Amino acid sequence: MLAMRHNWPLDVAELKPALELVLAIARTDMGILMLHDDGEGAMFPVLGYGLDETNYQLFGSPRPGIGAFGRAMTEHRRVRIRNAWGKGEALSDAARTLGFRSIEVLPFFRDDGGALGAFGVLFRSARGSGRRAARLTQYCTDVVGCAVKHAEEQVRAERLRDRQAIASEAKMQFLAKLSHELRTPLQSISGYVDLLRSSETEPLSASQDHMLERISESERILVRIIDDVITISRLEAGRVNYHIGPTNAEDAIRATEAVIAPLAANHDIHIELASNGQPLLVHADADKLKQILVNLAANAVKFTRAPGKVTLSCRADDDSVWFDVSDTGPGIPPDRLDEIFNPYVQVGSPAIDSYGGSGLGLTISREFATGMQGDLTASSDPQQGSVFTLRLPRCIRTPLANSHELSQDENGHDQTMRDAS
Amino acid sequence: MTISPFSSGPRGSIAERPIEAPLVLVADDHEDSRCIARIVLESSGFRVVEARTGTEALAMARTVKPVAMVLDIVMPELTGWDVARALRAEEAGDQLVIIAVTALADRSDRVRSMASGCNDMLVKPVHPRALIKVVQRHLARRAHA
Repeated sequence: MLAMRHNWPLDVAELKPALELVLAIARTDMGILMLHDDGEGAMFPVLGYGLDETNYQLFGSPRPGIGAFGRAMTEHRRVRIRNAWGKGEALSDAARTLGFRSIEVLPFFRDDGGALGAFGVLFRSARGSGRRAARLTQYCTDVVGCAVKHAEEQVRAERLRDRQAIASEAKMQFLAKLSHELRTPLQSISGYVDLLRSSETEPLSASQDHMLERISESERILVRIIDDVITISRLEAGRVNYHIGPTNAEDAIRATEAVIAPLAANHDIHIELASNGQPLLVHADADKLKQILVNLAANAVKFTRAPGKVTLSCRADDDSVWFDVSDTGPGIPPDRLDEIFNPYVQVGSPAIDSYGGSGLGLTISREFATGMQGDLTASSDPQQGSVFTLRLPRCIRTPLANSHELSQDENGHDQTMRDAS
Repeated sequence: MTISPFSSGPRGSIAERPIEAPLVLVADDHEDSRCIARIVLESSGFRVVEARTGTEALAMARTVKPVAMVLDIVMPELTGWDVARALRAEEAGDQLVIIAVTALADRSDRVRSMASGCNDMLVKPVHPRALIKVVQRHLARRAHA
């Protein structure tokens, strides 16, 4: 019954053979196993041999320093009591009731010295175990201590993982709820702005239209921030799925150019596609590949002063394909090249309306690249512009004819609409 | 039935439009979303009726027999998924075009919408022109089928 009361890190029945072995080596037929309950600060009997479970309570719940078990716990050593019937002995009642004369307590500990438990070896005479038996029972105790310690560590790690999973799930649910609550009022903003701008009966002046365009742009930025925050937390929770398949590199570049062309035209930036004319396949999730390239190209466009040029190209060796997105912008100081992949960092931190990103785009892009067994790096020559390079594993097989099938990204948006509008 | 300050209510709207104009049911508990959908649908030649809750949407779909539904998911009483499933289970429910328009943005929500019988799902904020395009595309597909 007592054994059931405590939440030991392992099934105590599994320790029964160890108790039997200790008793056999000590040449006796009675013994008890105590385990330490950290919450209670005491040991409790969990397993007996040669005695009835109803008698476990005779051993009480020893605390440090008190009685044979308590002393063994405090002094970190084997404690032997030759005459357990003696006056003042904590165990004298148990000794008389169960008929043992002497007792040896073999404690075992964690690495930090915290008590894990102890074997109580009960002898019907005062003889105790010999030197050789004492050495062997000690070995046996050490082995059990080790096993209990590992079981406990494992259970702790599992509990920690469970707690983290619950926390991460709660965070995801909170963010999903937040996303829902933010999107509803955004619908009012986006819907009415669009209706005002497309009204035929009440045409707007150029400056009114421009103001509404700024509202639209801000609405798109907000949606992007919501999406990016959710994507980041999905990445942190390991809940992003990759649908990896043979993907045509040039298709990805062309699709990126189609998305980015209106933005580039707005900024008076020329987009150039450089190709070696050779069809290249990569192992990639087509959606995520496009998301990375669109993000890199949009960054390049936004950070390049007009009239400038952004070049999308790819090259390969036997194992890898590299996508280069290069611009004629101001470049990135060498000491900040790594930093820009951290969340919420923008070099020179331009005002949000001139950049229009969440500050999470590069972090997400690099995580996606890693998730597809590739990597994303940046190099820059100040005054010459920057080059962002995405490397992905090359695929030699023929492509499947499904690269256009998925039109929605991880958050369920029609990607072309969101990015191009 | 619901009366919006921006419109004259479902019956009035039907009367304003030629009776042969196709009827779309807009079900959403968010008034602005209903109003935006109504304006853009009416300007594209549809008649529009509105519902504010899941139960109202289900009842109206059965009585007014729209050709298409613009269906929010998170609504009082019944979710849009419940409504879509119930209508698809009915004999006349096959022909109805159901477009989910929702602020639920997870991929799993999309999967659930499609599994419940929606023809498509758009995530808010939805641009009115995009909504019209999707409704018209699905109606055209239905006409050709």
